[in-house]
Amino acid sequence: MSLAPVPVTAGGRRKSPPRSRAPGEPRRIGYLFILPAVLVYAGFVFAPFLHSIYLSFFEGNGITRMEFVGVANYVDIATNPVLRSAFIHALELIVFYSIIPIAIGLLLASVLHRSRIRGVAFYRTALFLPYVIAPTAIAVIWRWILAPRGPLNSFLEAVGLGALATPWLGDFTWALPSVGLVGTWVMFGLALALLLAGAQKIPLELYEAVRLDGGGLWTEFRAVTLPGLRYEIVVALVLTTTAALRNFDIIYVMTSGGPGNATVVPSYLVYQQAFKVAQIGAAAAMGTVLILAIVGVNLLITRMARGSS
Amino acid sequence: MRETTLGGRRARRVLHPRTTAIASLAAVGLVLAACSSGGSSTESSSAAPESSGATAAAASEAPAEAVELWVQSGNGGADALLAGYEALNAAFEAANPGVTIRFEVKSFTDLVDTLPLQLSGDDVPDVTQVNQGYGSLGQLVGSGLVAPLDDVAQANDWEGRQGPALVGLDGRFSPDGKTMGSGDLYGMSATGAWVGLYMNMDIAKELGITAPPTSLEEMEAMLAKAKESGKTGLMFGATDGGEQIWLMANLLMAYTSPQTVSDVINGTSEQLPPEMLQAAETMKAWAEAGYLTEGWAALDSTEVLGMFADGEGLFALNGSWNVFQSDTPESFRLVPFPLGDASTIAAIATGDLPWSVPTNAKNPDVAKAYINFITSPEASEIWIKQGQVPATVSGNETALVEANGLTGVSADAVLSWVNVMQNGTPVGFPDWATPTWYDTIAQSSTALMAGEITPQEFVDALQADYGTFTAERMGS
Repeated sequence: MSLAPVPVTAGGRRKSPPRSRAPGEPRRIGYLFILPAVLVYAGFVFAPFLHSIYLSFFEGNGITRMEFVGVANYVDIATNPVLRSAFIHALELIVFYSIIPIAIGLLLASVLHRSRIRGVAFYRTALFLPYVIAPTAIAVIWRWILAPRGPLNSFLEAVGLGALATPWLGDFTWALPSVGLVGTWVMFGLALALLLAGAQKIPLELYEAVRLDGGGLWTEFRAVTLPGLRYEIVVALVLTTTAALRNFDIIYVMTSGGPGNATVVPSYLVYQQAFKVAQIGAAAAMGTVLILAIVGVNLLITRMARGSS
Repeated sequence: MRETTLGGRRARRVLHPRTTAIASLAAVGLVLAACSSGGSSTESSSAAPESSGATAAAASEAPAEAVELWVQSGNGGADALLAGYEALNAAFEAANPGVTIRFEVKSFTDLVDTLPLQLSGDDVPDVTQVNQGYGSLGQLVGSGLVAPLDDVAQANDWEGRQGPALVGLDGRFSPDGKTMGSGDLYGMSATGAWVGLYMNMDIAKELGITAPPTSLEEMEAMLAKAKESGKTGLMFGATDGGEQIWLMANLLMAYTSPQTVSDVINGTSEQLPPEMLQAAETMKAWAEAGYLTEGWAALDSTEVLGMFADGEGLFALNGSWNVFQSDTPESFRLVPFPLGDASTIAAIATGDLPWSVPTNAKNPDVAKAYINFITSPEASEIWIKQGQVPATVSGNETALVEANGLTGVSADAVLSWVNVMQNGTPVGFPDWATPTWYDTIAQSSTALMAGEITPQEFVDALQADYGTFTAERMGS
């Protein structure tokens, strides 16, 4: 903008009409600017969501007449053991997707940011890489690794641990932890990158202060690192628990919910009921409960973070 | 500019039905005429009705209007099959000047998952493949999304081509979609798909076995023999679910009869036959005896068939449609699964995804002519040339198989199909019975065979699903 005086216009209007609000105050015209985004959001996210809640009270295939069944679909989720087990599996996956990666990430971050290791940037990139790869590709790779005659079992046999070899993804006990550990592998890079970035802004003087006060490594961690990384931990928790709860691609490619129902998760059931067996109402109810669960867990996490600050 | 395009588009839409009607009548006439005149000697007397001769004459006077026939296939990935369709499409276009075919290929899952939504719109294919069963074709029929084909079927004696049993299995439904296997005709298959026992005759020879088993007892003895010699008896992969379902159905056929299993699939009773428990016990026993591929619960069907083709295992249970995708040695055989005794011949044997005409199709008559063409005895020759199993049995199969150099399992795929069609009972796929049965059987049988649930619990799980759906279907 040039600072040259603006020539007075033909009409001689050089004064704007008196303002009704202080400069910088929100003006109604602001809504106009967010309107496109709101319309898109309302049209493609909010309206379909409301419609799907509406559909969840019906039974039918979505084409012919749908029958109103009240909350029967929700009662089914609470009472049907398969549907219920899907949510239990999702909770178990939170341990693998969220808690283990963040724990490892915290440990590594507190070590890494204080020591000078050559090529830290390389390791950081390498560890973050799994998070960038398409989940389907990851699932295909791990399916191969864990196959009955895959590299993992071959390795176990080569080192004399053949007795431990098992068809990992076909085993009722091991299938869910196997899928879960893939999630750990993916999410841990993300957690580490977030936490390392956060750790770098913690002043080293604080550690020195702890040391002067006679504190050890544990005190350093508890009194300086952990509080300093609070917000990063919250972000990591939100991202990873959401990923755990809505997990679909990895399950779909690796196990399709099997063996039996051992790795069935809510998103997979939504897909199965909507597209495989044409139970639109049941699928909508499952989807609604899943969204509420994700929102609920995220509210809980942010609430806890605020409470502890 | 904008206005004209809109106007033009609207005008074309109004004109469309009329022009296509004329053109399609012409096409039908041509095809009917072609069929009746050039038909092979084995074609049962299907003299084209008088009227079709008249339309054919009328058609030759009128200039051929351009019709684009939108054909949608769900055979994605099956290259040999698609090559057959390509050859037939070219032949159809040549026989019907003015018709061009837009052939769209989807994967099976893609097709089945999106069909109900696609066909309920206005922009639908003229002819599409569908999947059989209550959950798929039954749902489309009940929702009024596909049109009956009885007129063209009767005019061209489709039942004479494939036999009433197979035609009923593939395409007949009551108009409300609630009774399968009888009623109006909504779909017709071009090629056959059947499930049989692949056998490695080299391993058999090592074990002192000279011929495929003709009874279930014989087969079990062979499995035990293979186990004793440290060979895998039955190559088995469970992650897709198909193999458990086929094994269950074949065992149930052996313990009851093919007709009983057909009745189960069509849902004539709410109660599963008591022999289901026996079938479950056998499945569990085979898994526990170590007859199956190690790690079967984590292997899929394709992987397992690949291992079998590489020379591992005495038997494999798989579909005729997989014959041509693996280079199995010539000594291998493909035979119907052995049932109670040598005289009972039956197999899960149905048409591949049947062809249907959506209710909203823009060129229904050309579409029907197309189905008529690809299921004709003449088309059979093209199918065998491509190494495929034609659903239509012309009687010339043995000569055609030899002429086209098909050997081993490729020859068996065609000839055993003819055997089942002429001397045995074709049975549908068990999962047609309820929309959820595929998953229920697949999941419960893996649990059963892994020792997680008992045979009785397995039967209870199947009965719960089956009974609920069948009662609802028959009740309303």
